[in-house]
Amino acid sequence: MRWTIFRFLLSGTLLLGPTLVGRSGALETPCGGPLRVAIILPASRADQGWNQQGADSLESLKKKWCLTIEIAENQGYGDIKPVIRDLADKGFNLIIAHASGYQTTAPEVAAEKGVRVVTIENAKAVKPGLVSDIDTEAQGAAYLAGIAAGKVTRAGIVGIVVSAEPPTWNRMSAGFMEGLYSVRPDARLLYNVIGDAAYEDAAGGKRNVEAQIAAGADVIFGQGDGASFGMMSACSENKAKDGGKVWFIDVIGDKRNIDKKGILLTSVLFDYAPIYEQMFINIYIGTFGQEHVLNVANNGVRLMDFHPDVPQYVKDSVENARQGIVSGKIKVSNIPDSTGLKTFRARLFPR
Amino acid sequence: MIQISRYLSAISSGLAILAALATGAVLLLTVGLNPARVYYELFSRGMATHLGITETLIKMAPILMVSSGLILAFRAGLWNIGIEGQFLIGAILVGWAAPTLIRVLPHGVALLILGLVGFLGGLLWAVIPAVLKARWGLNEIITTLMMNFVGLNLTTWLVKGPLRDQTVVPPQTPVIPLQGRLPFVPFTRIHIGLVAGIICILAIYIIIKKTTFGFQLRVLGENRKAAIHSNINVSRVTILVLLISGGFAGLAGANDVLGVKGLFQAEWNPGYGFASIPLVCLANFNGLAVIPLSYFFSFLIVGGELMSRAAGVPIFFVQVIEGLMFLYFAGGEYFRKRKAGIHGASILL
Amino acid sequence: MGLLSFFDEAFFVVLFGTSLRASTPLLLAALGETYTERSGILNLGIEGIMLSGAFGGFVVALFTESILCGFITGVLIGLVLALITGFLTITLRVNQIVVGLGITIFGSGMTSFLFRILFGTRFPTLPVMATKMRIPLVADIPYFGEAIFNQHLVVYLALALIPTLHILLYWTNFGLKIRAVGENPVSADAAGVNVARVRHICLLLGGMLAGLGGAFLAIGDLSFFVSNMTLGRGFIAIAIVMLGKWNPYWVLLGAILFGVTQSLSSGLQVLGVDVRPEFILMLPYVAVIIALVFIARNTFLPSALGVPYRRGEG
Repeated sequence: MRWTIFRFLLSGTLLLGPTLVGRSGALETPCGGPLRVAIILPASRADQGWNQQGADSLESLKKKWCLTIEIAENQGYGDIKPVIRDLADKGFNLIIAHASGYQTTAPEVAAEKGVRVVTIENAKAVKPGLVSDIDTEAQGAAYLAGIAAGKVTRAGIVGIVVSAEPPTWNRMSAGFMEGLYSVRPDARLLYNVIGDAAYEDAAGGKRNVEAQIAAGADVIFGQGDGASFGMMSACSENKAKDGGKVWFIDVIGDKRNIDKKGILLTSVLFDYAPIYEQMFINIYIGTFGQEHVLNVANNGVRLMDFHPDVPQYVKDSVENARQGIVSGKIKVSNIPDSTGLKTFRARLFPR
Repeated sequence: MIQISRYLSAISSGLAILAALATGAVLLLTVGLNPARVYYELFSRGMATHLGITETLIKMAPILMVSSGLILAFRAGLWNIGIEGQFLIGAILVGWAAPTLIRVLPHGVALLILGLVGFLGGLLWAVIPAVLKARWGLNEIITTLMMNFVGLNLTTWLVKGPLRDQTVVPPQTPVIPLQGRLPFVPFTRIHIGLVAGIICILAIYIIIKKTTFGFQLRVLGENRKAAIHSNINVSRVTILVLLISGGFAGLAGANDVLGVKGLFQAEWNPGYGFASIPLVCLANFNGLAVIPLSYFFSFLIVGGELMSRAAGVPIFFVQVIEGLMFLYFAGGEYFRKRKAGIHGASILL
Repeated sequence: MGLLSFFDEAFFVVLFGTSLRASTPLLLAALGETYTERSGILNLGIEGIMLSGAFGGFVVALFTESILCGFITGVLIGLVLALITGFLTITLRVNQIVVGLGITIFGSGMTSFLFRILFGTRFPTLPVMATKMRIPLVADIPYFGEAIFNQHLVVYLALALIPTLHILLYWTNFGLKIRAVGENPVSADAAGVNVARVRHICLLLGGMLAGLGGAFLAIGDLSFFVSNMTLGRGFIAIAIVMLGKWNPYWVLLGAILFGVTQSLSSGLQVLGVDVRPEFILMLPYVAVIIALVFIARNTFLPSALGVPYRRGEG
C-alpha cells in the first residue's frame, strides 16, 4: 500500500533518472518512507577490501536516503538462509547478498519470502520486483592498471598475487594482463595464488610477493583483502633487483594512509554507491529487478589518483585508454573463471 | 547412581552455561555494552521465535552425524580429527552426482543412494590414515589433520575444474532444484536430515553397547594391550572404526548439500569437526548426551547471529561465549566426576 | 627463467630466508609443545594462544611504540592462558581436548572482538618496524649465510633454543623428570618427582613460546594484526611435534620441511611451473604424510600423553 502511494508520488520526478537525486530539496530525500536495507558479507566488514567496500558504500548513502541499515558480517559460505529470513521477517525492503557465492541461495529465499535481494554475478537470476544483480566488471580498470604497470616497470617483470580465485579477482587479473600486454608485450608476467580462500593470509601474501620480487618483479598487482597488507609490507621492505622501488597496485580501497614508504602506485577503486542508489530509485518507481554493471564507463570502478612520482606520460596513456574503453574502442576481455584465465595467460605471456 | 550422576550433569552443565554468560557479561560491561540487552536478544530470538527454533534444529543435523562418527572413533581410542576433509569429500561427490541421479531416479531412491555416496566419500578420505595406522601405527592425529588440508585443496581444484558448472560464474557444482532436495518433516520447514542425524546417534549407541564389534572397539579404546591379548583383530577394528567415522562425516556433507545448500561450492568449509570434538568429549562419548549439547551449541550459533545484529554486538562475541562455555563445562566435569566417584579417565591412547 | 633459477643465489636467499622467517612462529610453538607433550599434556590450545599473543603483542607494540614490549606481552599472554589450561587439565584433571579447543575458540573470538571494539573498522599498522640483525662474517657465506644470518633476533632465539632445549631434555636431571612424568607418572611420583609441578612448568614454557611465536607473526614478520591470522599454525605445530618425535632437532627439521615446502609453493608458481596452484599448495601436507611414512613409522607417543594423573590411581 505504502509503496503504491510512493510510486505515484515519486514516479513523476524520479523517472527522469538519478540526475535529480542528490540535489537539495524535499523530494530528493524521500524520508516519508525510508528504505530498510541490509547487506550480507562473507567476512569481516573491516577487512579493508571487498566486504568493507560494500558496507561503506551502503553507509555512505544512509543520511541522504534516510536508510535503516543492518550489516550481517562474517557469514562465510555456509547457510545464509536464516539471515535472509530474519531480515525479511524484520521488514527489510532490500537485502544485498554481497558475494558471488551467495548467488544461488539468495534468489531461493527471495522467492520463498517475497523479499527483494541483490545478487553478485548472476544476471540469470534477475526477476522483476524480486532480484537485481550486480556484475563487477572491474577488468576495465584493471586494464588501465596494467598499462600503468607496463609503463613504470624497469625490469619488464610484473607480478600478480591473488588471495584466491573468485570471479572478480579473475576478471581483474585478465584485464591487467591484457593492459600490460598492450604496452609491454615483451614483459614477463608472474602469477601467484596464495591459497584457497586465503583472503586474510597476510603472511602468505608477503611470502608470495617476496618470491616475485626475488625473481625480479618491480611492479606487483595484489588482490587480497586482509592479505593485501602482507603484500604491501613485502613491497615496502624490499628493493627491486636494480635497487629501486617495488611498486604496488592495490584493489578495491584506498590505503594511502598506511603507505609510509610511498610504494602505492594506484588502486582499482570500487564504488557501489551509484548502483545502490539506482536500485533505491528502481524500488520507488517499481522497476526493481535489473542487471547492473559496475564498470569503467559508469565510474563504478576507476583508478585512484597516481602516486605523485608517476610521470605525466604514464597518466596520459592511461587516460587515453580510459576514453578508449568508455567509447568502446578498446574491448577488454571478460574472463571470470580460473581455467579460462590460465589459458588466457598462456596465450598472452607464454614463457 | 546413574540417576544421581545425570542429575549432577544437568546441574553442572547449567552452572557452566551461567558462568560463561556471567563472564561474558563482565566483558560486555567492560567494553561499555549492555549485557541484559544482549542476553535478552540471544534467548528470545534463539529459543522463543519460530525462526530461531527451526534454524537451530536444522543446524543440529550435521553436528549429530559428525558426532556419531566421532563417538565411535573416540570410544576406540582413535583420534580422527580429519572430519573437515572427510566432510568436504563426501559433500563434493554428492554435489557432483546429485543433479543427475535426482533427475533419472525416483526421489527417495536417489536420496538414499546419495546418502550412501556421501558416506563412501568420507570413508574414502579416511582410508589412508586408517591403513597407515593399522599397518605401521602411524599416529592418526597427524595424518587425519594433514588429510584435511589435502582434501580442502583437492575439492577446490575439483570444483574449479572438472566438476564445475560451466553455466555460472562462481566455481560451484550444478544446483539441485528445490523439489529435488531433502523433504521436510511434516508441518515444519526442518528437513529430514535431523531425523537421520538422530537415527545415526541411536545406531551408534546400540552398536557400541550391544554388538561384538562395539565390545571389541571399547576394549581397544580402554586398553590396547588387553585387546591384543583377548584375540581381537586390532588392525581390522582400527580400520573399520576410522572408515565408518569418516563415513559419518561424509554423510554430514551429503546432508548439507542435499538439505541446506543445494550444491557444492568453493571456499565453503563449515568446520563441524572442531565444533563437534569438544561436544563429544563433554558428553563423555555418550550419544544420548550429545543430543542436548548439540542443541545448545546450535542454538548459540543461530541465536548468537540473530542477537549480534539485533543488539549491535560484534558477532565475534558469540565465539567468546562458545569458548568460555567449553572451558566451564570442562571445569564442571571435575565436580561431576568427583561426586560420581569416577576419576579423570584417559583421553588418549 | 626455468627451474634452474632456483639456484640463482639471490632467489635462493630470499626463498630460504623467507621460509626460515615464516617457520619461526611454527618452530617456537612446536618447541614449546614438545616439552608440553613430553610431560604428558596435549595442548590443543596453542592455536588460540598464538592468536592471543599476536593480538596482545600487536596492541601493546602499537601503543608503546616498542617492539620489545610487544614481544614481552605476547609471552605474558601465553603464560596466563597456559596457567588457565594448567589449572583445568593438571589441577582439576579435566579433559585436555575440551580445554584446548575451548582456549582456541575463546582466543579466536576474543581477539577479533577486542580488535573491533578497540579499532572499529580502522586498520592500524605499527609505526615501528622490527629490525633485522645481520651477523657479519657468517652472513657472507654463499647461499645460506645471508638467508640464516640476516634475520630478526627472535629467529636467532628460536634457533638457539633448539640445542638448549635438547640438552635440557636429555642431559639434565630436570629433563629426566619431564620424560619420566610423561612416560610413567606413577613411578616418577614414587621416585619423589612432583608430577603436577613438572607438568605445570612444561605447559607454561609451551604457552610462553606459543605466545612469543604469535607475537612474532604479528610484529616481527608483519607489522599489523588481522583476525584469525594464525590460520591453523597451532595445529600444524602439533603435527610437527609428532612428526619430530618429540625431539627438538627433529622438530626443527619438521618445521623446516614445512616452511620450505610452503616457500616452494610460492617459488614454483613464480617460476611458472605449469600445474594448478591447488596441487602446489597441497605439497606441505602431502610432504608431511610421506615424511611420516618414511622416517617416523611406529611413531611412539609419550605413554602418559593426555592422561590426567592423580596419586594412588595407577
